[in-house]
Amino acid sequence: MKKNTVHIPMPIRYLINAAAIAAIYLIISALSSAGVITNYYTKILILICINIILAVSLNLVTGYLGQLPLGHAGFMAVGAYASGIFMRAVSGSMPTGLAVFLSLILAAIVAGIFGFIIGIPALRLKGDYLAIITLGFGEIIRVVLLNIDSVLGFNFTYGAASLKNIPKTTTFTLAFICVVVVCFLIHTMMKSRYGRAILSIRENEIASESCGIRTTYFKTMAFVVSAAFAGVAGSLYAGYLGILNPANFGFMKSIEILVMVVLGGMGSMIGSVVSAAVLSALPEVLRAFADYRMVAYSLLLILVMIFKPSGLMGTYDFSFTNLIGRLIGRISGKRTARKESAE
Amino acid sequence: MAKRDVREPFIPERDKGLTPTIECIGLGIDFGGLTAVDDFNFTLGRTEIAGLIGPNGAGKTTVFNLLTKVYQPSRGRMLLLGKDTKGMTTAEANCAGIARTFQNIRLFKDLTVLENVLIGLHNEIRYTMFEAVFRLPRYWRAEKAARERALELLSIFNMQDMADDIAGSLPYGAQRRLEIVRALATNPTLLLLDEPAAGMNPAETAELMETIRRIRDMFKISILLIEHDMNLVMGICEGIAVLNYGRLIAKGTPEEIKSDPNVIEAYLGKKGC
Repeated sequence: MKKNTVHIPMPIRYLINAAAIAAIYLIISALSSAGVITNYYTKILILICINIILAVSLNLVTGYLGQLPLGHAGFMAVGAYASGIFMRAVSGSMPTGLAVFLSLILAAIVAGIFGFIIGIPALRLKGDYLAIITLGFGEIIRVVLLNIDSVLGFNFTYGAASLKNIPKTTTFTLAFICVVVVCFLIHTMMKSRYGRAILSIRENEIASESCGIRTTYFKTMAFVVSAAFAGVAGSLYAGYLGILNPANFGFMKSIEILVMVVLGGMGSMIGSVVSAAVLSALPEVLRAFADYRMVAYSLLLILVMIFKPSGLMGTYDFSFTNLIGRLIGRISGKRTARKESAE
Repeated sequence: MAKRDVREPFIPERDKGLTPTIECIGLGIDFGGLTAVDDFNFTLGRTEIAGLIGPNGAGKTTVFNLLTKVYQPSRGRMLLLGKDTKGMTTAEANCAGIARTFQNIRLFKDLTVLENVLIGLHNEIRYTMFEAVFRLPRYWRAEKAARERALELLSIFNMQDMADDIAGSLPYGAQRRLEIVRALATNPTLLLLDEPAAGMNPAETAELMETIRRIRDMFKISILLIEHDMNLVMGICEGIAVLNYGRLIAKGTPEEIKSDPNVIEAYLGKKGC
């Protein structure tokens, strides 16, 4: 335990965190109702939220489990299409709030099932092999979405013609709530015996197995949870764009998410959040140079890998309450020091 | 002295009558055309401390890997507390009561000492994913109990003050001790120690000997260790098995082993020539 840190007890920590999250939300919504944040900026904020969910969920497999899958966009696509088709089917016949809620759940479940189906064979492999096979599965999902209609004989995903007229239900509030829920769930999972089992697999699979941890089970579990959250992001994406095209979920999208995770620091949730926010805002800021985005990406990655190979945050996980504890500790420490010197 | 048949079981007097912890009957494994271990017959008493020795490459660690189900044997059977272990995975073998340490330390290096022990306690902690994710009361109770248990286990080796240190930053001896604590956390009936004294100085080795005995007395478990430090082996083992080229060449008490001509030949070569 570090000196000068006041340990804040548990229920109060939750209250502080909840208050901080509510404050962020209130500030942003106040700014947007005051007109400081225009509609255009709100769109970017929603995109940032979606990318944060994608990065944080990929971080579960890349950072915590220590595997390298390259098919995250595939799971996002599955979630997006599941939710898009569902929303089109029920629009008008169901209250929007309920429909949106159900579409998010449905997207998570369908993407989770795909994660399970793909995870079982893929997770038998490691490292580059896993990367290649998940890359392959991701492409299979995209190509199937593109061509499934001509196999089925009726319009289901509308292939290259795009799935249009999805109700645009994704608001900033919804996206923000999803980010908070996903981050909370991943955080609490990682701080339990399940999370420790996942971390132990990253650290040393043989030792973890000899500690009685069923590594295959936990690998698959992490993979499924990660895929399900990617599905949630996909669902938000469907409601954000209102139109889905398989080309949006190509290999480059997977790489983009991976870049966010690696740049932020594998195994650091705050790192994923920050780098997802920066990397989604950057192309908008550099609108004029949008074509050079990938060049900027690679340059940024090379620079980070040279100067900070473990990513911006390393494996450091930020704790707001610990920070406050340290601040209080420092202030009260100074006070006692002053008192002592006065005496 | 009458030579003991290596095929006969050998366990200390006090453990006779109890089901042996481990009973290997004709255990063998081939890697392709190479027979690494063959006809391995071994019985371990319930509270016995036994040693497995032999020259380099004799197959000692392979035996450990067979016992912990990292490898499935090509021949023979292995009974754990009288139950056949055929088809078990490493994790299942651990749940059934076999814990081990590794020759080249395999700690969870980037995690804290406490987390390492908590991972060992994984199967002792009982709450569901739902209870964990939504932080229900059972989660808090189980985590608190696990933490206390982990600190208690660490205190056996006087390591409770290091609980928040990163495991990889510990000195070598402490890492070896932490590995033993982590293995103990899985609540084993058999503890396998692969060269526990490697890299330790004589004082540390003496202390380790004491601790191994204390662990046996505290937890009432059997301990099988591979070790090259003969002081340690002869000092604490009640039974010793000697492997050479994958076969048992001798079995018996330390005194019997010391004077066994086969063992002397395996270690030092034949007289004369």
